Amino acid sequence: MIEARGLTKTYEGTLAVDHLDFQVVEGRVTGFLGPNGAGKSTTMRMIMGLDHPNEGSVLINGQRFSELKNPLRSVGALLEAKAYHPGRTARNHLLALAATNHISKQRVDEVLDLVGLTSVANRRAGTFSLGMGQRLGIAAALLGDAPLLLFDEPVNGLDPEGILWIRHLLRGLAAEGRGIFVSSHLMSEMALTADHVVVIGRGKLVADTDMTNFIDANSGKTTLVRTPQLTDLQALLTQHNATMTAVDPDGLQVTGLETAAIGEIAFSAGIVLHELASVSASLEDAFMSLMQDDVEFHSHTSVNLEGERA
Amino acid sequence: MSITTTTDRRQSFGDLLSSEWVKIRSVRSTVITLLVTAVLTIGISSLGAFAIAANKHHVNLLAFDPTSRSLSGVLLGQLALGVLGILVFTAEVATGTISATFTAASSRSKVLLAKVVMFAIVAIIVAEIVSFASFFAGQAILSGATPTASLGGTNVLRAVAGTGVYMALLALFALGLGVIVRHTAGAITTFVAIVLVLPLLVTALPTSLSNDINKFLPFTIGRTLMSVHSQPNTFSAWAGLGILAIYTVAIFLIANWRLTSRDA
Repeated sequence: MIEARGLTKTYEGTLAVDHLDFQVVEGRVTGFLGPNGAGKSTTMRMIMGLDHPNEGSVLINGQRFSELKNPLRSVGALLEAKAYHPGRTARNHLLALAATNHISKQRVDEVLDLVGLTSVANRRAGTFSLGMGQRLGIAAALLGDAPLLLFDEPVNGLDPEGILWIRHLLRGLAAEGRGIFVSSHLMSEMALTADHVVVIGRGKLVADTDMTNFIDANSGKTTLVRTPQLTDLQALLTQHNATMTAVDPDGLQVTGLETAAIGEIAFSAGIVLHELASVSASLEDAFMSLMQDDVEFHSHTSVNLEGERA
Repeated sequence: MSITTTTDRRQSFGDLLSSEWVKIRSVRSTVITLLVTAVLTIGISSLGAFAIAANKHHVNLLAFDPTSRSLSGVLLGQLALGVLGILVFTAEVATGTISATFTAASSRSKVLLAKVVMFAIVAIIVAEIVSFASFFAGQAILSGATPTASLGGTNVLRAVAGTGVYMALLALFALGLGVIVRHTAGAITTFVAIVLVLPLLVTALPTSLSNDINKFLPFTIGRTLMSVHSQPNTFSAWAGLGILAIYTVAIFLIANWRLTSRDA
């Protein structure tokens, strides 16, 4: 288990991470959500002992990173997209890392195979595409067969096939009983991958909950209705205390009423419906509603800390 | 999935050392900088010897030191070896490998020590080979034209072997500089400034002052070591090496402090 307690990091007087408390437990994918600059990368770097917290602590199975016997065997991480020497072959990059934790060459070949890089293992990593580089980083994270794994924005810059592959990989690793902590600013991707979600904004914890709870709690149910008698329906639904927004000349987005209720109201008034569909709330909507008050989320004021670190 | 050699033992210094060995032997820059070190040192030394042999009538035989004459290429060779020392650390920073390295090791100090030990082994072997090769090549070129030196001569072995130690120590100093500066270009510039520019600046000072400062400079220490004669206003060869060793230890203490106290 990874446990953060009051984790705080300040950069030149600015709070990047502000008293975070959360846990990453084994057997599930914990999504780590937040806009760019929210402090996700900094938090991950503190877990891995790269950045020192100003306050609070983060423990890996009750130990600080520096107390781990063989770090790679306790926690594996993909932090930067290209954390390898371009002149070194993929295999040598992994061999050098494996040596530090007394991991066999066999295991190096195993992870190369796992990420599908066996055929290019002896090529200089500098010749790799972004996707291949990402796979090499994932191979490094998997090297120690660790029960806890961190991935910082693993799908960044990947093609749809690569994104699908990572989604399956993460789900599979969690199914094996590992604790997966994966950051993303892509809400839709998280909705498909994570079981649990930790949301931060401006370094502060915003939510720490089940994925389904998160979506339900933070989004109103919406129904899309199309009718040639738009004004009639609008007047009718107003009487039932529904909130509406017109999406086009004959379409309405309705909240505050169940889809079935809208259908029955229209039927009893003899209004013809061309479309009646319940719009399932997305994680995006949930996230947006949660983040509404977060100043830093608006592009004109966003401070891109992660961009600076890269 | 399984790790076949799973043990419950703690990460050892040997593990980190073998990792550094894989790293240093698996990049082209190692081979290139070592080749440049060899070519520059042996090549310039030989050219210097040729020049002397061609102008043998102008040579003041009383002051002539065939040993130091055959080691003149060290002046440039030391820079190439220093660059490799710098790259051992700065290349990891520049490529981002450093975060992978640090997340695989529980102690940064041990990583630094492993780098120092591994590079020290490589540097001393290469520096000694290059130093002895320059000496023998130089003597072969000088023979017949001027007096030559043999390893059995007074202070000759000390000069040749000592020059190798000097080159290796200076390259280790450069590694320490790399850890502190972190950027390749900045570290190389600083290194060249300390080794070559500083002596020039000191000559601009009043003689009494420049003599006092000059003997503390790495360049002067190196010159003293290469010579079989004792030089005025310098430390003895062994004292010079001691001072260089102190510089190197000092820079690693600072480097270690920087490495452990700040974010990676």
